[in-house]
Amino acid sequence: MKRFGILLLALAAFALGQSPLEKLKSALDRLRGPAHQAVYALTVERPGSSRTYRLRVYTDGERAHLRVLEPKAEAGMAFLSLGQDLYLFDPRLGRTLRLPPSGRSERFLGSDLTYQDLMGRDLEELFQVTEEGGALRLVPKPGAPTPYGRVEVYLKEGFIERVLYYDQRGQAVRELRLGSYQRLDGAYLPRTLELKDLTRQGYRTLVEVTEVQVGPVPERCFNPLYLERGC
Amino acid sequence: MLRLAWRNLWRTPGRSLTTGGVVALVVFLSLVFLSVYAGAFDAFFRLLLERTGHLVVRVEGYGEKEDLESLAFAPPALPLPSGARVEGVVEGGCLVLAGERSRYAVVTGLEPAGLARQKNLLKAGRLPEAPGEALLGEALAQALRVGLGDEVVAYAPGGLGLGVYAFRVVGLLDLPETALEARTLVVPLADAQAFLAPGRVTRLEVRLEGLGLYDLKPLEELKAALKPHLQGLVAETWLEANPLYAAILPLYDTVMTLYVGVFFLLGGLILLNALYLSLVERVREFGLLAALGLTGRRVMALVFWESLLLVGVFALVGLGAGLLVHLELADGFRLPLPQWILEQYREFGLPEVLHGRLSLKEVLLTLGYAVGTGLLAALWPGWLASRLEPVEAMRYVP
Amino acid sequence: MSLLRLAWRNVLRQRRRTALLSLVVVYVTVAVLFLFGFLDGYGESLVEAYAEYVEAPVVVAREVWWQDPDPENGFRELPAVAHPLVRAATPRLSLYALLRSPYRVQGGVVLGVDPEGEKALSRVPFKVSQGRWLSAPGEAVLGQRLAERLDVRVGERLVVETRKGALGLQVVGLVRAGVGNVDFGGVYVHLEDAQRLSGGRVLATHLALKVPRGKEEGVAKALNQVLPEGLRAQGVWELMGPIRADYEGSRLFYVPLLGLFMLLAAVAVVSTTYVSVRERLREFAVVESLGLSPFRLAAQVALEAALASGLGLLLGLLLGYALLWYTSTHDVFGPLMRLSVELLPESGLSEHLYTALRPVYALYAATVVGLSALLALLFPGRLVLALEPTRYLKGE
Repeated sequence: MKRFGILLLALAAFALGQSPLEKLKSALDRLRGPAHQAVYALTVERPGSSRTYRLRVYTDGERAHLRVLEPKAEAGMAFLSLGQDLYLFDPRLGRTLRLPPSGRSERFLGSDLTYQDLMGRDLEELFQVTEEGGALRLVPKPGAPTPYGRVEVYLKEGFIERVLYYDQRGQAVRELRLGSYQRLDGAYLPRTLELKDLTRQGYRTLVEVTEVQVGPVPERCFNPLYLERGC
Repeated sequence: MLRLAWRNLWRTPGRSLTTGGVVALVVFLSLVFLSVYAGAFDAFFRLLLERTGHLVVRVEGYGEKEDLESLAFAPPALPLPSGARVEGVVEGGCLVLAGERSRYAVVTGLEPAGLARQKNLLKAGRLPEAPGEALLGEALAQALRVGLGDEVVAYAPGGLGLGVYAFRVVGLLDLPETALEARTLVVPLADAQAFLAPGRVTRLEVRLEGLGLYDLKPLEELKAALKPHLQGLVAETWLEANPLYAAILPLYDTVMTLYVGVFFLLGGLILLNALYLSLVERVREFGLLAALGLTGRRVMALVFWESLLLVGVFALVGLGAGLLVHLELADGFRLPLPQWILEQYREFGLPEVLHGRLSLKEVLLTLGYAVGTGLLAALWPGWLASRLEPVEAMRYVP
Repeated sequence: MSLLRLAWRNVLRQRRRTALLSLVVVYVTVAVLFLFGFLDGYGESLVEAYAEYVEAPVVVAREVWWQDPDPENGFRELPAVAHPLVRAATPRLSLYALLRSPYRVQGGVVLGVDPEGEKALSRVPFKVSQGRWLSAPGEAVLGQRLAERLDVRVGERLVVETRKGALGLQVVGLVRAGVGNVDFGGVYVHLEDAQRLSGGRVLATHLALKVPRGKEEGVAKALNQVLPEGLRAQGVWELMGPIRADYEGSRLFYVPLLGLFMLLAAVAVVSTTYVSVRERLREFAVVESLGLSPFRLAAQVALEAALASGLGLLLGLLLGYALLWYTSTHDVFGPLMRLSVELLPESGLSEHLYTALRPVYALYAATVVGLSALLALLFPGRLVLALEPTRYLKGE
């Protein structure tokens, strides 16, 4: 009984004592998930049109290798994100390109997601976290290369439910919603992701994560030389 | 009266010839000046017209729009008069990568006719003939450290097209501003479309045959005719599409009138001198004429006629010479400046070979100035002559 | 009576005709003064723009950097530059970067500077129209038109990215210099930030030197004799872009025209002198028969022409310099220049043009006097020389 009490106290202490940054970090870990492979269905909605891509993804939480499976026009394209470096393979180009760091703020496959959103850990690296009224408030660190004025992260039981990006003039410009977190082997991964461009009517991107196989990913997947033929 | 005036002129052949020579020279210089300047101005604007096309069709509100998606459109079929040509252009921003280096540039996809027009900006190499070939601004090539035959990759994700495309540099372009050159990449239209926006264009350029450079009325008419076929699009004349250049146009006439005025003011002052001198030499004679009954007004008229005759005859001489030179200039000429200066001017949009232009308006302006000068210069001497007291005048000793 | 006083008296004897020919000379003198003032003013505005805004009076950099202006060709250690005329020196690091605001992205050249050192070299720090100049790393100052294009305001963050890194810099001020390159394309950051953005191995890409106006080419040449191998100094005229051709072309085009004007004015003077001489041939005959040499008479005629045109010259100089003084303090050509800057924002043109005011113009204009004297010798002078006194004395 006493031990249970101590355990409870310890847990409580742990829960209360978690700093905002720690909360963010653990929530982000849950967002990225464990090392796994999966098939992502990426739907890009625009006024009057909608495109869906199917991607095979290999990631270890830090680095990611993505391959386009469908539609046929883009099939064969592959991307590799290794922290700061970004590589791209295009079958028509016939070889692998190394993109400059500025490439990471570009939109991924024409969607509202940037490479940063998919693979980066910007939120921890570039922002200072405080807690306000149950949500996490992120403000850019001095000198941080981000165009946002502030970011609000709404957590539900330690999972990121909603992220709201504001520009420097106080207007909300992007909204990210995550849902259907699934539990896999002790780790979590959201199943659905919705990103809305709040400045343009009808611009939305949806991601659905399917066919997840948790487990370590072969190291060669994170080698640019394997971008062409896949792993 | 006329014959008297004429004879009087030739009593002092030296001075009449000199003064007349000055008048002829002023008229001649004015015409040549006008022809040269008009040639340069026209060449400048003709180049602008060539690059822009007579009419430009773009998405409505294009000035406010930023991204390619909202600026690109599928080209509608347009009912055009015979002889008119339509060219589609795709233009968008992209990152140009070459090895370790990259630069942000604007890629412009042109149809073969459009590519052919880049010829006079070509500094090295040749125009693209096959898919995958590109022209680079010279400064961009230098910044990326690539030369003819090297490869660059254009990267513009997030568009409707491939987003990545490889090009081989086959030619280098020389443009007026180094900063502009440093962001210029010109490729065949099909490649640009595949790269950025398949099946679409960001503008349509309509070119008509047989139109004068400043002929705007047919363009306005065509604009109105096309309007119902342009849903969500807007057509503009080439001047409307280049408002800054359009602002210069009205200035030109004013500036030219001032310039020619400066020449004629000098001519007028010299003429005034000559008329006064001829009066001084013939004071006694005028006195005699007055004593014989010639009224003051007729004396004044005599002076006026002398002036007008002098101006008239020699202005015609100047006109003739000026027109002859203009005909030579109209065939093509180069400004008499060192080659290095001409090359720099070429970057600014002035081709090396210009063609003189002289319209009736300018010839009339010059002749008008000549007549006006002749009249104005004669005013004061004429007035003096009309007020001569016959007796005093006849006794005049210099 | 001396030749001069005689000539002077003759000139004044005929007030009206002297006044008339003076008009011609006044006009031409004013034209000469004004055109030279304008041309020199144009040149000066270009020099000022490049020396005090866009570049510097003299710039020292490695030879390889002049060929390929990439930071990798910059200085790893700053060279020592010694010359008595160099008043100040400041290092600069120029690099290409992507400028990313929340709404736009654009490529441009960023200049890393030492905020304090820059004040001794350039006028840009004093042309801040909003906010303030740089004081510490983490800050950026933009040209006003560039800020408008990027849609960035003072106090907001601008992301500057190179292939070596990215920084979010706070825009602390906007500059309005009236020079296209600065207003439309100027991005100024702290030298340390520029060093970070270029990879950290290079201290600067070039050294800007302050040298008194007019001495730039000389100092550059002198420095090139003593600078170590692989370094080169360039003066402001070499640093100018294609706009230099327009300036030189204008000079080549207009100066001969002015020469023609002056010739025509001399012709007017001389035709008056001719009439005067014709009227006084008998007088000259008498004087000659009394023993005065024909050459002295011809000289007197030339002197008369010179004096007559000299009167016009003096008046013309007065009016001309008054006009130049006005246009050198009032921006009469402002609207024209502003239009030009809009058309060619990165050519180095300024929004103002003030005419120059130099004493040497008087010398150029005085050519009229010389030409008049010469022509007077050639034409009326010959009349005098060909004079046969006996014929005139006989009363014909």
